[in-house]
Amino acid sequence: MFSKDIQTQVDKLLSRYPISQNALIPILLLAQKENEGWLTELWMQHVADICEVPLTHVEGVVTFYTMFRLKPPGKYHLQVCTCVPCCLVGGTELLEHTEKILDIHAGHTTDDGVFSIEEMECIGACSFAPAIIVNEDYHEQLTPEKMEKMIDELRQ
Amino acid sequence: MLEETLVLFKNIRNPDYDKSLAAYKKSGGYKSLKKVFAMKPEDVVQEVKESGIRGRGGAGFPTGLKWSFMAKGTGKPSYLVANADESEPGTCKDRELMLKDPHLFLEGMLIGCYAIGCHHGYIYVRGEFFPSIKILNDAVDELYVDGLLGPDPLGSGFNLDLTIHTGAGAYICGEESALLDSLEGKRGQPRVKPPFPAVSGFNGCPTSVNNVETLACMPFILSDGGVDAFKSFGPQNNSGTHLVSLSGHVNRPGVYELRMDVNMKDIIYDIGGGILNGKKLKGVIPGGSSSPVMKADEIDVLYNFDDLAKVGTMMGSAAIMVFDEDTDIVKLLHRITRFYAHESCGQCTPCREGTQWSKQIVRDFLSGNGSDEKLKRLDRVGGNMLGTSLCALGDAAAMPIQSFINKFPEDFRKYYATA
Repeated sequence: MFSKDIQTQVDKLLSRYPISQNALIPILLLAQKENEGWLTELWMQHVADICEVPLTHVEGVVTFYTMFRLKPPGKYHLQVCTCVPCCLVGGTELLEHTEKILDIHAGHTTDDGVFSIEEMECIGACSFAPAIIVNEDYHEQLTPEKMEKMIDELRQ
Repeated sequence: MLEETLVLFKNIRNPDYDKSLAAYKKSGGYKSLKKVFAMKPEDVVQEVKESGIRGRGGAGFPTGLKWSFMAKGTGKPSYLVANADESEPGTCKDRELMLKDPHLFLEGMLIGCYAIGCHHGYIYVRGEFFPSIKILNDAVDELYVDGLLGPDPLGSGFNLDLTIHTGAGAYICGEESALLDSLEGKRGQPRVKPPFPAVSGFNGCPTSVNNVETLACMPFILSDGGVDAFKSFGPQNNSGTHLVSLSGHVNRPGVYELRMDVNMKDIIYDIGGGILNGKKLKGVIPGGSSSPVMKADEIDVLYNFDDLAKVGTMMGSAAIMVFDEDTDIVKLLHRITRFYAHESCGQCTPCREGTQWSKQIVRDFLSGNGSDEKLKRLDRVGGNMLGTSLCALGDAAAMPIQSFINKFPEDFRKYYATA
């Protein structure tokens, strides 16, 4: 199921741990990347077989960690932090503004599938707040205006 | 005027530094490792003990002591696991080290591995830190190419491997036994202790879990004269420089390296440039969101483990969150209670229930339905979480609740229902 390049990464991971179950979480993250940002039962079963654990164990793990998703995110997944330092300097307003311009609430995806929003607990960029993660990139010291400009640029 | 003391940030503050292995070596990097390889592992642990360094992850446990607890002669491999699951609200110091000077941390990791006899170390990085994960992987690749990792680095005869392991989003995995469960490929739930990880950790083997910044101090501590110099940076039992994450309503938020004998007031007003927009200070959360809050007139105190403990709070992960006179205390507490309700792993009843109930009671206040009785109930819910769960998350959720009520009761009264 994995592409050749990702399968190489999976094999490398498996070689780095005493038992294959130890590599479960990093391999699940790779599976999610392969499947456009979310996990299906088919993928979970595949990873369960690789890591030699039952599917129920994988489901238990997947539902415990916030980075695993069981429905597809948008092409650009906007993870807006509103935790303590971000909320002190406008993180909540930034989230509200983002929801308004995309006309969706956090936890949802736009109809065209381009954007999704997730409200985040602390993302560890506190001294550079308010901050967000777009897919795999951090964007820091944002304002509603900068956010709007970024969304416009991503849309094109 | 208070200024930084540069030990860990010596390279980072140099604008020409490019964080490559070559640049790190040019700045004197990996010399301590060479020195350490010529020492006996137990002598390395002894020097770390003598330096007095206390863990920088939040608990402040003496690192040398932790290493000396490692079970020996078990016939099982020993492991060093770096805790790079930085997620305590307010804290972003380990991220700075990993992004801007990965080899400083990696040299510390290698020194730690040698000290406790670990031949394969793991670095558990929180999954959201994509940029840090990439930089660390690149830096580890550089070490393999250079021969500092793999068989017989520097002719030491000590085979050494490192693996970067990614988490997948869970605050609780910063707790060391939850982190180990997560590293094993399970839900990250804290374990019953004892046994402690030094006896039964990763896959049931002796394991030491250490914070990134703690490990990054090792190259300095193990350098010539390092132990005495390290001790000179702070009062007894609070040695070394440390990284302080400053955030919230200050003019210059950032991560700063400071001695442990400096005044918190000076950190906020000198280093941080004072309060945003010329406002007055209302209070400070001094050591990550778990630490008891302080009022503006209480901040004239030395910023270190013991001096903050003396005034009833804690330094934790050294994350200072500053808030001004216009801050709505009840809204702030609501955000904190939401965090803990989201992050409780759900294993222990007092924490699972208490974090949810406290969030709901504070929300009740925000809807204008507060009362004396509800305030007492909120305080009681907090009290019921103190010391009643397997790990410290319950305490971490309780301390802000009780201190917010205690320090700012008048702010809660604004949300009482009017008869």
